[in-house]
Amino acid sequence: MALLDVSNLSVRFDTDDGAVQAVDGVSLELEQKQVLAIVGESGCGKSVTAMSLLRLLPPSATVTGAASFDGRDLLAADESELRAIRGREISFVFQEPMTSLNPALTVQKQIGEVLRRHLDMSGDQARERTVELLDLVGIPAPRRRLGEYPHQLSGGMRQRVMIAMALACDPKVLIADEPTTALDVTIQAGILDLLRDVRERLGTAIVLITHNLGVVADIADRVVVMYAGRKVEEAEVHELFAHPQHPYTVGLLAAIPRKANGDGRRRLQEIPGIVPSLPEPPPRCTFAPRCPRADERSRSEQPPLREVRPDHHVACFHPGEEPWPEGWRT
Amino acid sequence: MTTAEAVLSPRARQRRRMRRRLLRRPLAVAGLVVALMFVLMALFAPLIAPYSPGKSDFSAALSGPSSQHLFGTDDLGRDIFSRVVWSARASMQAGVFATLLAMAVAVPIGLVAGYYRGWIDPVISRITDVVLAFPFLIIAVGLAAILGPSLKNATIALGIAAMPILVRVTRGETLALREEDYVKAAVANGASDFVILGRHILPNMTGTLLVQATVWIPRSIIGEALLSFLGLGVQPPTPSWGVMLSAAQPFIDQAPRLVIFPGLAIFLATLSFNLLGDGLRDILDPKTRA
Amino acid sequence: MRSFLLRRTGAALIVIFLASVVVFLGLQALPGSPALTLAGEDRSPQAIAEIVKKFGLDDPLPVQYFNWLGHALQGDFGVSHRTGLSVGETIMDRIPITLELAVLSIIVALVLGIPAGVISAYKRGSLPDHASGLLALVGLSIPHFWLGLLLILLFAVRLRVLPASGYVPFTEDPIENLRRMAMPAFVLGTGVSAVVMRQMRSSMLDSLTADYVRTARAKGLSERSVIVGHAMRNSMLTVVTVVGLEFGALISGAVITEQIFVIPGFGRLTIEAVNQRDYALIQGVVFVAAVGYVVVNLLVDVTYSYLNPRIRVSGGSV
Repeated sequence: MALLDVSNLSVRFDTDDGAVQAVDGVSLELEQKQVLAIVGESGCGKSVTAMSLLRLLPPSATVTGAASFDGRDLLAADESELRAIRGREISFVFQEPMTSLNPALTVQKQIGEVLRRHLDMSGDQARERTVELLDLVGIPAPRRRLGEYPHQLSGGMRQRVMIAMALACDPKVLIADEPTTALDVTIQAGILDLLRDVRERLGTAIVLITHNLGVVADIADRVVVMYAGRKVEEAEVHELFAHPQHPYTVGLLAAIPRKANGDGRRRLQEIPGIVPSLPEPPPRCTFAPRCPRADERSRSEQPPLREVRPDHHVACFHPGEEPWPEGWRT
Repeated sequence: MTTAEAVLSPRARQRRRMRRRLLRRPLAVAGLVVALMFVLMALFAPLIAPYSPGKSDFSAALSGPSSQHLFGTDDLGRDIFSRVVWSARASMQAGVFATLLAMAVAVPIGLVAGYYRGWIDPVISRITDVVLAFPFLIIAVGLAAILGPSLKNATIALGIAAMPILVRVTRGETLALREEDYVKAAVANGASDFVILGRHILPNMTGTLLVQATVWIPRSIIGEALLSFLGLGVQPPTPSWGVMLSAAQPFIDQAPRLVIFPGLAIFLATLSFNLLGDGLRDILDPKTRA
Repeated sequence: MRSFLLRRTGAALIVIFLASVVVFLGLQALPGSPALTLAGEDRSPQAIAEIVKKFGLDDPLPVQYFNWLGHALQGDFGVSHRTGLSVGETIMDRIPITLELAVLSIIVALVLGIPAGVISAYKRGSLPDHASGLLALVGLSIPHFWLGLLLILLFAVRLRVLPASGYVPFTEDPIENLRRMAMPAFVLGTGVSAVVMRQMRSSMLDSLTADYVRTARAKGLSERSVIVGHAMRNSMLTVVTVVGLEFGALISGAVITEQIFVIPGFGRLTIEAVNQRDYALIQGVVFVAAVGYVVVNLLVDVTYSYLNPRIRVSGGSV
């Protein structure tokens, strides 16, 4: 049975300027020990999807659909049940370690909190376990770090502390929302190695949310591509990279900066246009305005998710591997 | 934008927008209305008050509210309502003129300190710090004691007491505004310092200064009431809310209205300016919108 | 942090020094010659000559100043010509009383202001929020001497539950002491509580929307832990600063409040001195007030830098 089972999840925000549909009918599954990557540009709804599972969204959000964890219904659970799951069985790692850690509390305090809350540890036990955790995530001289404050640590170390905090209770699922985006490129590799390590050694399933396909190739087992609140493609990682079907995926892959393949320099390929913020999910393919393959059909009907290759689903009327046309503009 | 608005200059358009936003805040409007009411009360006291403030009627001393005396009479048989109305003059005078005095002196000093910096800025800042070592009311009390008790001296004392903070505020704004692109452009175009300060920097401070005015006018009103209460401000027989309160103390049991009405007037006058100030602060700076 | 403290202390000392100059010159600025004002009642030429000699009034001003400063720093402000008592002693007698009033007022302010601010921020836009906001504005606008009189009217005159005036030392009778301090502390406290409430609300609005609060919730902590342990923790810093800054307003307020409630404190002393033109006393009082104010500001700075980990522990590995 899948560890996380999300079915037809939709999230709607009531803002001052009207309602915004951030997520529209997304379904996905996470198996034990699996690394599932959710990919898409900023604003496509991937973070919102993840946060909605643990009800971490502001009160203006309305979540519909179904989501269950280990057979337990997440959306219908009451607050105390969710609080028991948060940090204990499903943990979060956020993007900005500087602002996501409380600047007024020491490392020990912040990690210790989780241990005391969920595992009922005493002060001493929590201390020891914290040292273990810091060591686990590769922080040198862990005992000295206990009394330090976030501003005394480097960006990479802070992120490791966040991961340590997330792993404190040995959760079944770790949701990492853009864990490397705010870090230097040189540090990113270290964090990715750590995440890989976590999956290997601890058997934690990971949901990795990112807009960086390079990161995905490194570590994911399975990939879900999202655009404007909808899932547009899903496949196992090698399959996706070798045979991308949706024009958006093709565009994303083309946009990865790569060394020229011997035939001179290549321009950085970008996908023209911007991700729309949609008040109402329109009854058409949301990517159509930017898509080189769009036609009348895509502009008037919403493409359903279909299996176009073995275990490879795409929501597109014109799936295929044709590369992005050079210099294409909407 | 309506056609009418399209014809207006950008500044006029902005003013209209402000007015609209102000009207959407009922509390601020209420503050404006009440504040204006007090100003009018001060200006037209002779027309509004049924009796002259000094007119005594010993036979009716300490009587309660009646058709002849709206708020009743005090221990000397004077009509409380008339005295409250006439007192508005002292308070408004103190409030408005003290603030104007403070701004007239503090704004130029702040502009100079913030714009020229050099050696004059630290000097001005240190002097300001020293004066700020004394709380506002202490300065006011001290100065009033030195100058001698009278409404004029109280007003001057309050104005002087308000200067240090206004200097600081103006200096701060000037420091920020001088880094703006349009100021740098004006400098590059050879504009004189005077023109830059007068046409570019000062006009962009009007919002902040307006808000400061709504802060210092009520503080000066309370200050005047306090000084008069202590005997350091308005001297009898001139009526002032502070003087009325002070004189009311012995009669607090017999005739509480002697305490209630003057104090209520001070409270409402202060509250109205504060409400107005809050509203103005909200519209002028969206960041502070709570 | 040490260098920060040194700098702040240095600045404070400079300000005190300059304030003392102002106070000294203030005496010179008063109408009439200093000798005349110091003479008080006896104004015969012999008395004046004696005073001039005794106080060294014919010495050049700087000499006079340093003389005075030297004595002032030892706590010797001369003798009040009215009471014949040492000014320094009189001041020292009165300060603890006003300090007690100040402390009680701050307690009132915090007890009223902090919960109001936290709840307002947490339930932003709701009725309790707007009501508190309005109440805070009322608290800021109400003249404290009027409030004092109204409270006396209600509690002392009508209900007869609290004494209208007077003072009993705490050491003698704590209950009576507190009964007499209750109304004045409340009067002074309400003004400051309004400022505290606003500041707390503003800080909490920032904290509650901060990322680390989101993390705290994602960790499964109880709502109470999130609000108190995380959001409030960070907001208290600014509140501390605000309270320190309001101290000046407290002192000013104490002046009138002690007058109304007849409490023999430092504030009341100021009025007495001013009304009786007791210049030695005025100088002493104003000087001590300035020193006190500067010291309090310094303490606020120190406390703030102690509480803010970013200043307390700077550096480490980056």
